[in-house]
Amino acid sequence: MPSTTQNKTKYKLSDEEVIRRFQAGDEAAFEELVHRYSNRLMNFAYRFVLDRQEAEDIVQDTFLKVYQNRHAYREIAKFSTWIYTITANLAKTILRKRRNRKLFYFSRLGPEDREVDFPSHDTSPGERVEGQFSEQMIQKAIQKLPEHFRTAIILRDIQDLSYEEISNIVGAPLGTVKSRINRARLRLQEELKQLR
Amino acid sequence: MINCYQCQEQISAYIDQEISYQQRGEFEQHIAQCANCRAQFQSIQAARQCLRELPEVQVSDQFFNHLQQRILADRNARIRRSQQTGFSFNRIPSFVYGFAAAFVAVIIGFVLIQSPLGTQNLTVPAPVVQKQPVTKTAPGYDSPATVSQPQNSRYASSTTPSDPADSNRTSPTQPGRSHPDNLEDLQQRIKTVKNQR
Repeated sequence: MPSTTQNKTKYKLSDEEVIRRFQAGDEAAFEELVHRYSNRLMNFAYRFVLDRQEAEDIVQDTFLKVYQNRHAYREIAKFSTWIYTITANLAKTILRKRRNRKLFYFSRLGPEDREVDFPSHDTSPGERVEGQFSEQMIQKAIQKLPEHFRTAIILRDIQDLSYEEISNIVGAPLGTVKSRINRARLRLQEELKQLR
Repeated sequence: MINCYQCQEQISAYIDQEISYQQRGEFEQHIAQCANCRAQFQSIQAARQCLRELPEVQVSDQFFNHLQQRILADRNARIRRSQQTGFSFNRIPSFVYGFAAAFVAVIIGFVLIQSPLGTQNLTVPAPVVQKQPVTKTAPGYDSPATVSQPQNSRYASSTTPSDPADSNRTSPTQPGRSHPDNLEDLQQRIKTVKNQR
């Protein structure tokens, strides 16, 4: 099922009402939140880090933080903004650790070893043709984008969040978010042209 | 009429309908006339459509069990910590260490100010040698005539007895010491020395 359709599902209770019940002590409300957000966050985390196991760890850590810090949420912002912010920060931390690990191992190699290709983290089942571009091509193109462009385009075009929500999640002004999304799309289509 | 650069800057805003009515008109006009911008616009639309059609990655079947186990483990750890008896540094909140350090610094500062070293440079000058009849002296005190001057008193000033009536007074042992004017002044200074001790 395409990712954008799930985001539009209408629930009887809003996310804010559910988190309020959880803050009051209703554990079933927490399970409801897990049910609503697990796949959405998994999709976001996976598209960001491109590793299934790491993406699942990120989502687990997110829900654990929500469980431990439920009283830290205030209804100033939407619940989705809060939970996506946690996930985005965890995903960025994973990427940073991964970069540092690569640098560490790379620096220990001698010159004759530096021809080695780093293994791909792509664990998707295989190529699926999506129109003119395969999923693997799209994944590769997304991975080539700088981190802040990647975040913006995943949140906008895959998670279908509004500009305002993205602005709150990444902590950047609305104008900056619009600019990033535009530049990310321009770069993405250039990358896809080169990969074809 | 907008140029190609302006058109490219507005592509996303046009796609996401974040553009004003006038800007939309100008954009569409430029796209109709410029083949390069039109090609780029169509290319971005296609890429965006591919992103939207990517299949949703879902969590594994074991996800909920693992999450439940982690939450239970976390809850048990919290209960164990709250039931812990006896003193443990882990149970002290970190801000307490800051308060303790500030408190200790204040105490040390207070002690230093109150100590003899600290009070030497304060306002009250040390008593000056003067030969005056003293009716009462506390045990352990020398008579005023034999009180020695501190070597480095800030309030030393050079004086010589000009008045013949001052001849009974002992001249200061240190150059630059002033004589107290009267008995009351001397007694006040003696009291001060006692307080210091």
